[in-house]
Parts: sequence; structure tokens; C-alpha cells
Amino acid sequence: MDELRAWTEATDEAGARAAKLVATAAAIPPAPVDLTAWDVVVARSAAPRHDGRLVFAFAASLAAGIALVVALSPKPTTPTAVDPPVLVASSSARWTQGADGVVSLAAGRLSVERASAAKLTLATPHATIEATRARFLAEVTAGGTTLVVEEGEVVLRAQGQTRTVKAGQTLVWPEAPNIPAPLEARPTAVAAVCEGVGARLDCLKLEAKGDGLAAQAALYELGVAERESGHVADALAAWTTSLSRFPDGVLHPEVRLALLVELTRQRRFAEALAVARGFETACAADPRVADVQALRRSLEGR
Amino acid sequence: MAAASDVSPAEAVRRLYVEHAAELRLGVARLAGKHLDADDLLQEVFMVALRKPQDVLTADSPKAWLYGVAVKVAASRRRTATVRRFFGFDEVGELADPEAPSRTMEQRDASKRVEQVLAKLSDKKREVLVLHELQGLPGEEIAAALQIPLKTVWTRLFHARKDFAAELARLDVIEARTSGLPQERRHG
Repeated sequence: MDELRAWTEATDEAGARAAKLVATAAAIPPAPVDLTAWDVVVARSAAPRHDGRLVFAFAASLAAGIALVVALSPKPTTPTAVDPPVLVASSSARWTQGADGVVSLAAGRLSVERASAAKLTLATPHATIEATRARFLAEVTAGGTTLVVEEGEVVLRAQGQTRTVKAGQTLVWPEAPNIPAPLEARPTAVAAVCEGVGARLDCLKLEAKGDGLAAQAALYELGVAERESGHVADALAAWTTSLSRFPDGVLHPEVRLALLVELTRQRRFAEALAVARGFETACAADPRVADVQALRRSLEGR
Repeated sequence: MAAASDVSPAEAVRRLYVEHAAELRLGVARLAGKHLDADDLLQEVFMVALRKPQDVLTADSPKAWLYGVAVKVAASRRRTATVRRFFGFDEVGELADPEAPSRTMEQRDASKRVEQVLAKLSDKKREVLVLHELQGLPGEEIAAALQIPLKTVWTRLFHARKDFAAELARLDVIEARTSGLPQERRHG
């Protein structure tokens, strides 16, 4: 836009009236200034002026604003107290609870009787168990940790692996190794003892007290019979006695294998490991030694 | 340019004060509003000049430079006055009139009316209108004072005149409606 024409040349009525009014006001000469006031200007320029009252007012309003914000801001809600889970330990259990709330169960049985929203962490020698809103039972034995979940879900972590156990499920950790099939096969070379006898167990026990091959066969068969009857401890005792009495007997490889398999099934991994190593030493030429070595390697990782 | 090579910067600024103080005091009063202390505003303008003597003394137009400071001081003081009024610190004392006492009645009324209308304009429009129409600054000096292009000066002035005329007409209408009419109705 180029320079405007003088306002007084305005043609419209409103513009002309405004221009006349402004021209009238503009014609007023300024009042003279007291030139001695220059000293005041010099004095004031030496020190910057601050109005303390404004500073105070600003500070007061700032404080009032902060107070208002604090007063009106919602109060942080106090977290509702969460009922801790109720733990019941067996009389033989050895357990402690650290300052961080983690429960350590070294042996025995511990059960959560009341589910809680609070997270429960249970550490055993074999695994770490984490549970929220769950009821479960944990038992620690030499062979591992058994977890029985009654309500909710429980997470078990061990050796970089995670297992989720739901209500009604049971998990034993570490999981039992796979037993090679050749080791479970019943030997056919064992002589039949007390076959067809009504009280076969009594017969076998009587024969076992003897000597020689018949006694070896009777002890082996006695162990098998006891195991099949569900008497695992008696079975293990029969085979242990056989090894003790006839460490180099004709049947000692079969007895060792029977012991190895049953101890593994019973999760008595340390004892099974010892039996496996004994087999490898005493029966190095046995064709099943490779399977025993494989099982032994599995046992060593537990 | 008022500054001479054989005088100190402070003295050169003082000479500017002697030369332009009266006109600047009236100008800054028109910019800020006559309810504010024009003497105080004038002092602030020259305080800035004293702190930056080289700026004002080497400017193409020291007068335009001073008006530029006056515009900023006036705008700042108008804002501050609002805050001060909010906190109840607004001191309305006996203020010296920046206009000559020799003015006529017509001039005094016109001045009051102009101030009323100027108060309704935006800062940018009020500034160019005051500087050009009331203080008589040419467009080039206004552009230098406000640090805007010359064309912007004319554009703002065009719209400022338009708004001023419209606001004046609006005030006239309001006064016509309120002056005397209610009384006539009551007595009628």
C-alpha cells in the first residue's frame, strides 16, 4: 500500500468527523517539561527499579496458586491392605521368610491355605514358585519339588524353563528322566523260583535265605514280586541285599539295573546315580552299558 | 542528529531530552493512556537511552529511536498497570497534564474523546495512529520506530483510521441514546 492521503481528505462522514476530531487533538501543543528532571533520569538509570510490592504480590499469588493446586489435587489413595496368603507348614518342614517376602522351603511340605492378591514367591532348592490368588501345596524332597495346585494358577521357574500349573494339576520338578526301554525289560534268563506256589512271597523269602544261584534268583524275584505288589521299599531292600551278598553273582547286572530303574522312578536320583556308576564299572562289557550311561547323564543334570 | 563529536554520550542524550522531552511525554501519554504518569514514562524512555547511548546516538533518526522505546515502555506499562490494578496498587494521584494548559475547550474535549476511542483500538493500530496522526511522525520514522516495513505502516494506519471512525460513531450513538432521554421519559 502506498502512502495514504491525509485523513482530513476523507470523504465519508464518519471518517471526516474522526479526522477532524483527531486533528483538533493533535493541534494541542505539549506542556513544557521541567528540564531539571533530567537529574532524576540520571539517578534512576544508575540503579534499576524494582517494585518490592509487585515482587511480594507475585510471590504471594504463586504461593496461593501452589496451595490451591495442592488442596484441589486428588489425594493419593492409600493402597488397600492386602491380606497376605496363609501358609501352613508340616512339622518337619524347614522354611524361612526373608525380608523381601520370599519364602524359602528347604525341605518338607508347605501349603497355601488362603489365596491372596499379594504375590507369593516360594523358593525351593530345585525351583522358584510364583503365585497370586492361588492355593497350592509344595513339597520338597531330595528328589525334587512337588507342586499340587488346588486353586488358580502357579508358575514354576527353574533352569531357564517356565511351567504353568493350573488348578487340579500336579507337577514334579525336576522331571524324571526317560528310562531307556532296554533297562526296563525283564530278563528272561532268570531261573523260575517258586513258580506255582500259593504263598510265593514266603517261598521266595525262604529260598533267599539259602545260598548259591537259587538264593540269587530268589532275591531278584522277591524284589520283582514286592515291586509288583506295590512294596517298593521291600523290593529295593531285596535287591540291595542281593548285591550285598552276591556283588559278583550271576544276576548282579540284572539286580543293578532293577535298582537303577526303581530308584529313578522313585526320584531318588542321587542313589540311582551311584548305582548307574557302579554298573558302568562292574559291567563294562554289558551291551546295555550305553543305555545306562545315557540315563546316568540325565541323572547328573538333576 | 543532536549528538556532537566533542560531547560525552550522556550529554548528547541530555540534549535529546531537552529537544524532544515535551513532545515525547505527550506521545507516550497518548500511547499508554493519560491515567498513567507521563513523567515517569518519559523518564523510563530516557533511562533506556542512557543505558544504550550508542544505539540512540548512531540511529538514523534518534527521535524515531526514542519513539520506538516509548512504544515499548507504554505497552509494558499498560500491562503492568492491569496487574497493579488487580492487586490494588494502582495509585491515582495528581498527574501532570502532558498537554499545554493553553488548549481550548474544544481541544480538551477532543483530546478526551480521542483517548476514549484509542483505548478501544488494538495496540498495533493505536501505535501507528498516535504516531502519525497525533504526533505527526512521517511513515519512514514510524517504520523505524516500530521496526516494521513502511507498507505495513500504511496498512495498519488505513485500518486504524477505519476502526477509529467506527468506534467514534459507535460511542456517539451510545451517548445519543443515553444523554437526557431517560430523564425526558421519566418526566413525560
